[in-house]
Amino acid sequence: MLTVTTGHRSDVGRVRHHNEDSVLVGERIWAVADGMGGHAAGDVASALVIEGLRPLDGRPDLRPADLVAALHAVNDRILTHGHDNPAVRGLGSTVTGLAVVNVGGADHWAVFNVGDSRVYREADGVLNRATVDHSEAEELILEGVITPEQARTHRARNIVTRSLGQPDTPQVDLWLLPQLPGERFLVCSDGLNGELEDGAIHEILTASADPAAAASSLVEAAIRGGGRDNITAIVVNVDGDDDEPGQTNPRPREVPA
Amino acid sequence: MSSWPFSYAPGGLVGFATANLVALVDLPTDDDLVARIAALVAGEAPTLDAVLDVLVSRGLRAVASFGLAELTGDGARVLVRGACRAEGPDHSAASGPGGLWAESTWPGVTDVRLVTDAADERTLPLGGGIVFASALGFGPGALPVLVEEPQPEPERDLEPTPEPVPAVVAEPDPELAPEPEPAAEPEAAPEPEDTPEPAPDPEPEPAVAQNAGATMASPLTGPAPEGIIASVPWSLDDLDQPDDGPAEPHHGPSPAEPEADPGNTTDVAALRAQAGASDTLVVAVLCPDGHANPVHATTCRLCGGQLSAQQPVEVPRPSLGVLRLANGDVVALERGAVLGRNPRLPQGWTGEQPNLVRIDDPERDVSSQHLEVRLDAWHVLVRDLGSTNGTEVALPGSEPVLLRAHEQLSIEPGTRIMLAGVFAITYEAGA
Repeated sequence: MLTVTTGHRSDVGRVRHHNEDSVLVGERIWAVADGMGGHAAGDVASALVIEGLRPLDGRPDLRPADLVAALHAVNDRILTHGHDNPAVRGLGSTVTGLAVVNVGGADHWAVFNVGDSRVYREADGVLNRATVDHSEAEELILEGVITPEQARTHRARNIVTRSLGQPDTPQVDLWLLPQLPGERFLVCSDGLNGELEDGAIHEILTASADPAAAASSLVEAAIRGGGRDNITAIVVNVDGDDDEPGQTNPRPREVPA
Repeated sequence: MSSWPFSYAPGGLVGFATANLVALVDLPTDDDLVARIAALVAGEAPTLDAVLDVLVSRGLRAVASFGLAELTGDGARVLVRGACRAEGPDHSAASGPGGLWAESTWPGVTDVRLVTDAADERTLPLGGGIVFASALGFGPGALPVLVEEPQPEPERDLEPTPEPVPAVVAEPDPELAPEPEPAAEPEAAPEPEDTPEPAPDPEPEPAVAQNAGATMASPLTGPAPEGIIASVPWSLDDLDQPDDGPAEPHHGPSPAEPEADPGNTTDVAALRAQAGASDTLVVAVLCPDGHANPVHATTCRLCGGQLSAQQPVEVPRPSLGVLRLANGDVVALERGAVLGRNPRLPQGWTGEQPNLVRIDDPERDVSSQHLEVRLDAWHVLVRDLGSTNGTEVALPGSEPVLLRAHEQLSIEPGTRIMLAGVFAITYEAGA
């Protein structure tokens, strides 16, 4: 049996006046949305994302397609809001997170992403990115034009290539992963990884076993690092007995000739 | 005019000068980006960011050389790429190899000049507008001001058609933007209104017709390959395409370091075609409903529509369908998958992270790592990962065959897969 404990922290940072990040910390779904658009529209957009996802939290039978459908509905809601309020036309939001979904009778993690917020997964002492940024910088890395380290400060890192609030329904990246005891996830807005390298993130995460303490330390470190954007972090710990997969039982069966 | 706000040297680039902004871009005048920038600088408060948004709207590197300079009140913001450089008192800027562009802020500087290597030595002052230039900057320039006698511009008639006025004789009103560009094509030049409202030209230029058939663009089309999207020179009609993206400037001046501001998340998604470069692209033909299909298909894999002969296009790979599991659940084939009781990434897996699908099997007939499903262009390939109890595959209309361990097999929609004789999966086409 697995138990999930979480902690989170969100901070406006040192430069911004508003926190346009919104966060969902549920029982079965955790998400960060980073809003964009002037005239305080960013908070509205990210809040619309979170409100659109919240109803999924109570559903034990959530399927991956439900998650995608909810995000498509959010996209339409943000668009409608922009149309109804011309002053905030162009508002949008990223979203990234983690949810428990059921596939084939087994619970899985669904890691989902639209935009340049991130999910990291830590297991067996290794921290990996579980999402791929939808940003110009990521594309430049893939093309070999810049290194990941240059990308952290590159101008193009702020340019997202997918977001919610677009006339063309954005494609939602979704990865299915089995749930494993001992793994940890970090869901964060780009204000965190914009200030901290992956190595630093790993170090800070490892230093605090408690998810709330880890989330606080991460956000504080990003503030010390400059705090140039809003910073949000959710840490999810997965604990439980090692679900020993055991030996497969060989079975005699008729093999078609 | 007491003092000319700008100066330029003649040349082959297109220069824009208005209010606090100058831009020099290496684009042909019939490029619709030029028309869009013209519309911007004719607008009320053109900004460097807005012009930049237009320049990158086809991709970050679509325009090989450009220079932009904006006076911000406490200095100048300068952005140059390619052959364009910028010069000012005690300052200069040039983009290095490899990068996108060089951006700098020059505090206290109001005398910025955008130059190219081939800059003509002759310089003339300018009141604003659009010129063919090899250099362009703020201030009347170093040469004695040659006050050209403005050719008295008889108000010939009240026809809305703008006159091809030599730009040098520019409007005496510097903040009112441009007189239409000096060269040619008067019939389609943007109206010199000072509202940013695009003024679609009612009279299409006949010469455009040769392009007009090339409207292959569909929402599926990736970053527009050159020539695929019909561009109508000087037409502003397509300006109201989804461009609500960059309502927020790219990169507002930030009290911190403007170069590395991780802030303003900006969105040019709407300006770009739909796909990012990280998506896998496939060559496709499109059915009448716009569904992408493999080039050799004769009917649409989704709607059965007839596929007519056509020029294939590159599109982001659509979902190749779903794996339907025994209980009816589906796993989308937007990426590969590994299925088993305890699925992990197979050794030596390259490419993007697959879905790891755990199969609940208390009897433990299914192996921990049982089946791998890979996507290769339009193909779905399955491989038994050396499972204990084997994998059978029945292609549509065929008897089931046992997969040999680690041997890849390409499957088609309708294929049934049985893991260890107990767990059934069907590959279905469709989204």
